[in-house]
Amino acid sequence: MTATAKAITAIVVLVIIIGGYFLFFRHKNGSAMNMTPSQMSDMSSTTSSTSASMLPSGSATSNAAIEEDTSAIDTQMNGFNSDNADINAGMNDQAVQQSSL
Amino acid sequence: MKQTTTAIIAFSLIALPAFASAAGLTTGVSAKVSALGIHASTTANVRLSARIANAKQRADQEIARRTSRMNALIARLNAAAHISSSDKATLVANMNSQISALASLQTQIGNDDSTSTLHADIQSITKSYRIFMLVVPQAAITAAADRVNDVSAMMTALGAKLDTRLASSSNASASAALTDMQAKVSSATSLSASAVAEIANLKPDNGDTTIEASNTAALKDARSKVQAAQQDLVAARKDISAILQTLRVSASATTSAAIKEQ
Repeated sequence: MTATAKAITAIVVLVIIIGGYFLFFRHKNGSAMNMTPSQMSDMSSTTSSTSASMLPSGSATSNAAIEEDTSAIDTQMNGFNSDNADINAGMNDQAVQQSSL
Repeated sequence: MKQTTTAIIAFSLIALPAFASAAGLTTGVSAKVSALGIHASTTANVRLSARIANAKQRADQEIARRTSRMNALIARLNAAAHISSSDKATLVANMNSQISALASLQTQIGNDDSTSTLHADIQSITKSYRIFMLVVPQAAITAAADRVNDVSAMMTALGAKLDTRLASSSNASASAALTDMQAKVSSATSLSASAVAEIANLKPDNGDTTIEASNTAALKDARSKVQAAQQDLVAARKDISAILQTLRVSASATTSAAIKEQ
């Protein structure tokens, strides 16, 4: 291989490595280098994305989305009564009656 | 002489049959009494067998009821999202141990053929297996606290959304409701954590009345904390309703204004 070919090959490999690094880094950290302002504000609104995932509508803030989330909360809260019944049943367990023996 | 002989013969003709008859009657009565005795004995055995069968059936029902409750709690705990892996593993292991013990007892009861051993085995469903009376409330309180944490997390996320929506408005009452909601959620979270911590290390009393009393007091207090946490969340839910009403009114006003402009 000629010296020129070697140099070209080296440059190509270098470009691939550097380009791959940037692509990896950008994907991992959501780099703001190439983002528009609206995209950046979207990022700030999803800082609580982990907690928003608890809700069925995700991070949506419309009235309909909030109503949907509230309904999901109500469904969970409807389980309070059965939870209390389980606790009381366990604490009030009675001996087996044996009057027939 | 002749009259005496006649009298003797007449007496014999009357007395002997009477005597024979009486003897036969006695024999008949003895036979009947003996038959009655056998009948009574058989009847008593039948009744006793029926009582034993009923007692075993009742014991099976009680064991099945307890086993079913523990299996349901195991499923709840396995699905819980806010319980540590170690706490979850401990509670589930304790209940599985109890389920196995009750299954063994059920087999033992099935093989009992005397009332004394059967009586003792049925009593042990509750007495000797008192661990059930600790493990089940422990698991139930922990599961209830986990649900409180689920709801608290959902309300916290919703609170962030409501905060965003209210940021563009100047509704003081809605803002106050949001602040109150967040405080109630925080209180609920603290109470549920306290309840779980209070019962996490309780051990079976093994018949020690002092430990039994201590365990009972801790379980009751933890139950009160969970119920107080639930009430906090109910109050927080009312705050959410008040805020939603504000948002709906605001949306309606915005729509009306937009129609008028057109």
